Formats: sequence, structure tokens, C-alpha cells
Amino acid sequence: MPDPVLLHRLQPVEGFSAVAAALGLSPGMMALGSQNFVPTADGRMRAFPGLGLQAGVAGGTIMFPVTDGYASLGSVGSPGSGSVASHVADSLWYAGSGPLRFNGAALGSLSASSILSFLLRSGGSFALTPYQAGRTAPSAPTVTNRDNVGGLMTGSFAVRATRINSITGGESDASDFTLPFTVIDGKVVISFAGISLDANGQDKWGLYGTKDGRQSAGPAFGLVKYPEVADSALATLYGILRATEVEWNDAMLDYEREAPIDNDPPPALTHVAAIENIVLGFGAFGGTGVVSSKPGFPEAFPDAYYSFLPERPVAVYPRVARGLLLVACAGSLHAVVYTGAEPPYAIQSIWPETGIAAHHNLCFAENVIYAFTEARGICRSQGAGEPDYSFANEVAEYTSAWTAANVVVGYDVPTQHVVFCHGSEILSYNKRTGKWGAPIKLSQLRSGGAALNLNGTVKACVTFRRKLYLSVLTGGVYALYRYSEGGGGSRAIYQSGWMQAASASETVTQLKLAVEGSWNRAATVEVFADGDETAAVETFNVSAKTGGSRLRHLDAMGPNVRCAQSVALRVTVDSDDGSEGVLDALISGEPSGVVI
Amino acid sequence: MTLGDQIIDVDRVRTTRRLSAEEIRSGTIENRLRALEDNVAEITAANAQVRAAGDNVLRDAECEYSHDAYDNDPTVGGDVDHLLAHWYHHAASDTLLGEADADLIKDSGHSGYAADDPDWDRVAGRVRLGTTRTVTQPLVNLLAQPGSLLYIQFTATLLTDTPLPVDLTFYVGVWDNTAGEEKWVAGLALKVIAVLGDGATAGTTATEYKAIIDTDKGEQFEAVMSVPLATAPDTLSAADFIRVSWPAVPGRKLVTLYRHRSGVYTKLAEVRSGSTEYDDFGDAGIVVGGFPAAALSALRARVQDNSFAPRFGEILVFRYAIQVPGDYAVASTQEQLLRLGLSAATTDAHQVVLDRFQLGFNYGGFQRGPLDLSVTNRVSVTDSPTGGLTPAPTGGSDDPPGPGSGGPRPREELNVL
Repeated sequence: MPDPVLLHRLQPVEGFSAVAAALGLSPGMMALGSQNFVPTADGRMRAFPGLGLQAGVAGGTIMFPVTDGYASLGSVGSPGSGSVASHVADSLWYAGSGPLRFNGAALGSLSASSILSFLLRSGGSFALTPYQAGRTAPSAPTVTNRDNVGGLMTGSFAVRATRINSITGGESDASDFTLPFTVIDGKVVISFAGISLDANGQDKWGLYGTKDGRQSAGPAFGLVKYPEVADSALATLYGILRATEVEWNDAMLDYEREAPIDNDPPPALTHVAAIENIVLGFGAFGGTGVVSSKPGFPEAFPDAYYSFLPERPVAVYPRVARGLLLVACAGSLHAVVYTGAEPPYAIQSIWPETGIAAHHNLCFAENVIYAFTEARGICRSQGAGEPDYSFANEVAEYTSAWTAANVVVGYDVPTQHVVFCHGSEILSYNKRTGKWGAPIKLSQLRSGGAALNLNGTVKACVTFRRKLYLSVLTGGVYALYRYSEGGGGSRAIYQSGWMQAASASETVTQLKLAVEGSWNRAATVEVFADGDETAAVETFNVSAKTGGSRLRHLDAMGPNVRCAQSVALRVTVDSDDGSEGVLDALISGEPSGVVI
Repeated sequence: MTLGDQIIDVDRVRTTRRLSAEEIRSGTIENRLRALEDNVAEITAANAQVRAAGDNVLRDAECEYSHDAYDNDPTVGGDVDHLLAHWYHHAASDTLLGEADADLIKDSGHSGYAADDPDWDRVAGRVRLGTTRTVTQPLVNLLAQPGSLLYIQFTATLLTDTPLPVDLTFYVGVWDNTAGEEKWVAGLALKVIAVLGDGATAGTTATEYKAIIDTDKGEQFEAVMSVPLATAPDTLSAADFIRVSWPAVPGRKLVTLYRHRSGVYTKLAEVRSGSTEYDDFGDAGIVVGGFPAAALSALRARVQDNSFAPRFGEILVFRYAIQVPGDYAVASTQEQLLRLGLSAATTDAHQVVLDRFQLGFNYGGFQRGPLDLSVTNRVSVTDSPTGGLTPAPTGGSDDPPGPGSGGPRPREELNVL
């Protein structure tokens, strides 16, 4: 018998290709049927190490990076929508629907609604009494002049008042003017008797007075000596309840601080975001309206600060990247940038004809947007140009059947994987090497060497401290898992493409495999012939190895695959640490010598 | 000052105080306009040496004429001379307010006087009020028109130094005395509007909302839907939602929104931000037994002063702006009355002493109404606590103030008696 000649050589380190007919596939690719092999930064394909369950915390329907942690909206029984953003002093702003969580833990029984709300942070925790952004103008106070008491006031004046929350700094619009009053060499007692504080954390009153003679037309300016008065400081003065006594003249007005008339509360919103020193609300006015706060005044939303998107937003990504916020609609993608002008933001179209179906269809990976679009599948941004779909050609056919609304896109910084999750499987793309991984099957994970069927679907994800967290609906809860964490490994399968015999047929008699990693668990090697993947022609069991994680040359195997017109190889290994990889496969035998 | 005068004044400003080149170059347009306005105001104030008084449509504004003296010529004397002209009193619960002689406020010299309250101090020409009965005067025409702003002012003092009840409130407004109406002049019932959210899928689950609106003055309004939204989505979600809105009631500080859907009443949201809309994404809310009710269902031409505090030994001027709701359906009104009263009885009888009423469109110092000036008989009073205080305190500029929320009230001290 002649020495076997090398028929095929496989070095499956070039990634995964999901073309259905894998004949002629590059010998460096993993073919359809492969699973749980992911592309590593060193250019190899290695077994997926698994998911690390985060005990004691839970995910949500949608998740966001905020401050130094992450937040989520929604529970299994109450799906979330909208967004969560962080702003000044790590305050947490939210609008939408569903229960609110921070770092996986419930924040009391708080839920989002269309009323823009926020929580203040003290130390590492949030106060659980939410404030609603904005406050209403109070009724005008009562004023009583005191003449001839040696005061500074002589003339005719009027007063306006505002509500102030000294904790948040929020101030309402000014009240109506009081009726004009005239003072002679006197002072004025301003009373809030019968006017209660608001129910939104107000604790002070802002005071504004007119110049002498401007009692009817205004404007009213802040009182330099009495810019505000604490409600607790009001007292009964001269028989007048809840009063404070003030005096001013024209020289004692703060002309830089006019009584506000545009500190309006935000309208009903579907999403919120923050950039620089403004808070932005989306989904106003029938759904397409965008409104921002005044710079530095996150509770004041002037009527003039509105603009409109061409369609209502599907998702808002509240963490600033590249100096912009992303707003995605069903048919378009936009960026919101800070301008500091009036309004202090501008909307720019990024993809005018490409949108998404659900919040988690898109993510930012460093400077590149990755998204899953309905009908057209996976794409990414390429500078200012139109979306790039070509990088996902290898998986386009595979993902064509995915339901866009169920796709979750995320980014894991350590592995540099952009992941595209659908139901119980995940496609990973290594943005450094440009290689795709074989589908990660949640049903094919391992724990302590035993099968672990996660039996769940990925609902959301978030990148927190560079790691990707997946919210997986399993067992009636949104369990939270850390991606590629080494939670027990997975059953990794390398499926080669079909290699056609150069001659009419060939007989495979020798198989040599070079692998790397620990191979702590037993593996199998199967050889298939003639396009039939259902039944292996030969199967070899490879025993577990000892000796650590390293390059290994497995014992040569002697298959007897006769007269095959094409052959394929499948290597199945139960990984327990994600180190396992197939480096090289030499398939040798005897060609028929007949050339047709 | 006419508009033409104002234009001239502006021109004067331009000529009398030219902005420097530096001001023009460095100043913002707003600042320059403001400087211009200030100059106009200065000149206006300087020119306004005589302040105009406000107008007054009330009759017997000084409470100085008896019914006999005001309306009979010659006078007939007797009890009719002990009835205060044109000022009536009624129980607070009365709705159709009578205007018979028997309803006029009496003084103690009247044969039918029986510790009446309010009563007429015929000597000094004042109304004394110490119960919850209301004081009214029919208006000579339908003064309160939709959207109009009326100014009411009067003087008040206390008969004794006994403190008023702590929670005492004072109210004043315009009463619709038309048979069948019989209520404060009011706008249309406050409405909640519910519409399908943008892109929401219509369904067949009728859904109804009600808003309870609490104001910072302790009033509580309700706003309801005319009919439930019949096409509400069968399953509410972030995509299939209902946008609910309600009126911007002045002074609102808390809006509690309720929902009735599929037979279940829920308390849906508490809106404290001042926002006037809410998106119902299907939040379960808190189940309640039914829609709660509030005392008020429409904005009214009525002002309530929760800090009404006249003082003993002093006469204070009280002023209020009464905003007539813009959607007030005046066509069905036959008669309007000025009506005022206290929320509770005072400790001492007749303790609140009222005088010098003025109601009009303009804001300014007190003056009698033109009808008072046409009375030919002598006044009925023999003394006046405000005698010697002429001219009456104007209290402020003759400039009309801007629209108010119905509550502004400057109080001014007069000289001690």
C-alpha cells in the first residue's frame, strides 16, 4: 500500500462562514454546523468559554450604560421602553415604561413613565424619592407695603415669585405679577399664606421685583439681597402669615436674572438623553418632537427649544460617543450634537434611509455603529458614508431569517466582539480581526463538564466596565450573564466545509490533528463523505488530555473512507475554559487517480 | 397716553438720550431695546403727575345711601331708609339670589332687624360681616365677558381685636344669577382629552380617564372625558399607547390621573411637574374603587384668599384680579352679581367691616361709580371712618396690570384710624 498523500489541509482560524452550500469554502473557514467557536484577538478560533451568571442581580428589557454603572427598564411582566441617562452629579434620568434598575438591583418600586423623572445620587446609592423634571408657576403671592418705615422703596412696583427646589436647583416659571403697589419710604411684606409648596421637592421661593414705575409691564428682576427665601424662613410678620419682608430699589436688582418665563416642564416623553449640560427629551408632540433643557438648567424646557425628527424614535442611546447621541427611528438614524446655541442642540441625519426595529438592534463599538436592520441585516457605519453591509457577507444568509425586533447587538471590549444575538444564539464578530465566530448556542453551554441548556433568549445587553452583560430571559426572570466569562465552557464544534476530491474520488486513510488548549474533556472527530452530514463515515473518540493548555498533536487517526467525492471534518469538544482550538488538520489518503 | 403719544415719546427718548456708538456696537439688541423701554418709562412716569382712578360700575360703592335715598325722589322714609341701597345678603348655600327689598342689607334701625349679619352700619356707611352669609350686588349689565379681567377692591378692617379664625378664607367673584345657571360665572367643564399615540394600533377596548387637579391654594378640580376613547388599543404598550392631556389649571401642583378600562378603575399617575400630558403605556397602576370626585369642574370668575387678614385699628385696601374664563358661555346668562363672603363665621359678631367697593376693568384709585354721582338725595350716613382720607389711596399706578391668575392681591396700609 502506498504511503498516503496529503489530500486536504485545514487550518480553521479564519472565522466562520454560514453559506449553506459549503463546498469550495476556504479551508481556513469554519462552516455551517460549527458552533461555540469564537474569533480571538490573536487570529485563532477558540471554544466559547461560556457565560458568567451574575448572582443576585437581574437585567431588563432594555439596558443602558449610565454614570459608572448600568441601568435597565422593564421586567418580564412589565416590558420596558424608553431610556435612562445620567446627568449632573450622577443623577439618573428616565422616561418610558417599566421597572427601573441600577446595576441589576431594583430601585425601590420605581417605574418609568412619560413624565420625565430623575433620582439624585448620594455616595454610591440613589435616593429613592424621584423628582419629576419641571415645576409649575405658583400663584402670585400677597404683598403688603409698609410706608414711612425708613425703607429703600419709594415708587410703584410689582412682584413675581417662583418655586425653587434647592436640592436640584430647579426653578419654576414666575408667577403672574402681583397687582401693582406703591410704597413710600418703606418696605414690602411678601406673603405666601394660603399658597402651598409644590409636591415636587420645592423648599424655597424665588423673588423678583420690578423697577420703580414698571409695576405693570415689568420685567421683574431678581432681588440682589433676597434672591430666594426658604419656606421654612417664612414667619408671621405684622400679623401677616407666611411672610418675609424685603426692600429694594432700582440699583438693587439683578439685571442679569430676569424672572423666568420659559422654565417650562417637559411634555410627555418616550425617551431621555443628556449631552454636555443639557437634558434632551424625545417623543414629544405626537411622537416626533425633540426638546431640550436650557444649558445648565436640566429641569427647564423652553418652548423655543423644540425640533422634530422625520419619524418617532425607536431608540435613543443616551451615552455620548464621538460627541453625539444616537437616535434611531424605524427608517432612519440620526445624531444629536451639542451646539450651545438656541436651541442648544442640532439634529443630523446619519442614515436617512436605514433604521432599526428595536432598541437593542444597535450599539456603538468605539467609533463605529453596528446595527441589525430589518430586511437588510447586519451593517455598520463607515465614516460619513452609507452603511456597510459587506463585512457581514459571511453571515448574511444565516441572519436573513432573523426577526429584527428580537435581535440584540452589543459590544464586549476585552474580546473586541460585536455580538448579534437572536433568541438563544449569538453571532460574534471580532472587530479587530474582522472574523466571525460560529454561532454561540445557549443550549450548548457546559457547567462542570455537564450539559447546561440555558433555555433562554437574549433580550438586552449593556457594556459595563468594558464587559458585555446579557439580559437573558430564562426561568421567568431576566437573568444577567457576563459574556465570555468562563462560566463553565461550551460544547464547541468545528465543522469544515466540504472538500471535493481533486480526482474522481479519493480514499481517506489518515487524519492528523494539531490542537491547542487544555482539552480537559473528551472530544470526538468525525469524517463525513459525499455531502452527507447526517451520518459520519468514521468517528474517533479522543480522550481527555492532561498537562495544561498547550499545543498538542493528537494521535494520528486511521479512517477508512473509500471513494469519497468530497469529505468534511467535524471536531466536537466540550470546552471547560475556552482555550480549545483546532489549529491544523491534515487529511491524507489516496486519490483515485482518475480524472474526469 | 395714546399710541401716538407713545411713539412721540420714543422719539423723544431717541433724541434726548442717544445711545453711544460704543453702546450700539457692544450692546445686544435686547439691551438696547431695554434701555429704550426704560427711558420711555421714565418719561412716562415723569409725565404722569396725576394718577387716574379706576373705573367703578358698582352702585352705592361707599355704602352711604339707603335704598330710599338712592332710589326714591322724593324719599319716603321709614324702613326703606334703613336698607342699604343695592347691597343684598344671602345664605352661602343660596343659588338663585333674590333681589327683593327683604334681601337688602338692613341697619339696626330697620323694624325687621334681628341681629342681622351682614348688617349696615348706617352711621359710618359700612357693611359689617361676621357670618358665612354672602354680600351681593347685581351688576347693571353683563360686565364679566369671556376672557375679561376685572379688578375688585374694597377697604376692610376689624371691629374688634379678636383674631379671625385661623382657617378663614375670603372669596369674591361674579355670580351667574340666571335661573337654571345659579353658579359662579365659569368656563366650560374641564376636559381630559385622550387620543391614540403616534403610530398606535386602534382597538376596541373603550378607555376613559379622569384627572383630579390640586392647586396650591387648596382647590381641587376634576377634568373628565366627554366620552371614553372607543378605539383604544386592546393591549397598551410603548408602541400602542394613548396620549392623555388635561387643562393647564393655574396654580396646579398635583394632577392625579385615573383610568377606567375593562371595568377596572386604576390610579395611573401622579404628575407633579406641571406637565399637562401623559402617555399611557399600559402601566397597571393601583386599582381603586372608582373615579374620585372633586369639588370643582371648571375655572371660575372667583378669587379665594386663604390669607385674608384685615386688622383691628387699621383700614387696609384689598385688591383682587378676577379672571373670567375665556370659554365662559355668556350667551345664556341673564344676570350677573358681584358676590363675596367668608368661609366661616368670625368669633365676634359683625367683625369684618367693609367699605369703598370698586369693581371695574381698570386698576387704580377709588372713585364712586357714575350712577352714584347721579343720586340727587343726600347720603344717608352721618359719619365715616374714612372721612378725612380723601383722596382715597390709589395704591399704585393707573397702568393696568397684566392678566392675573385670579389671585394677585396687594394690600395697602392706610393711616391708622
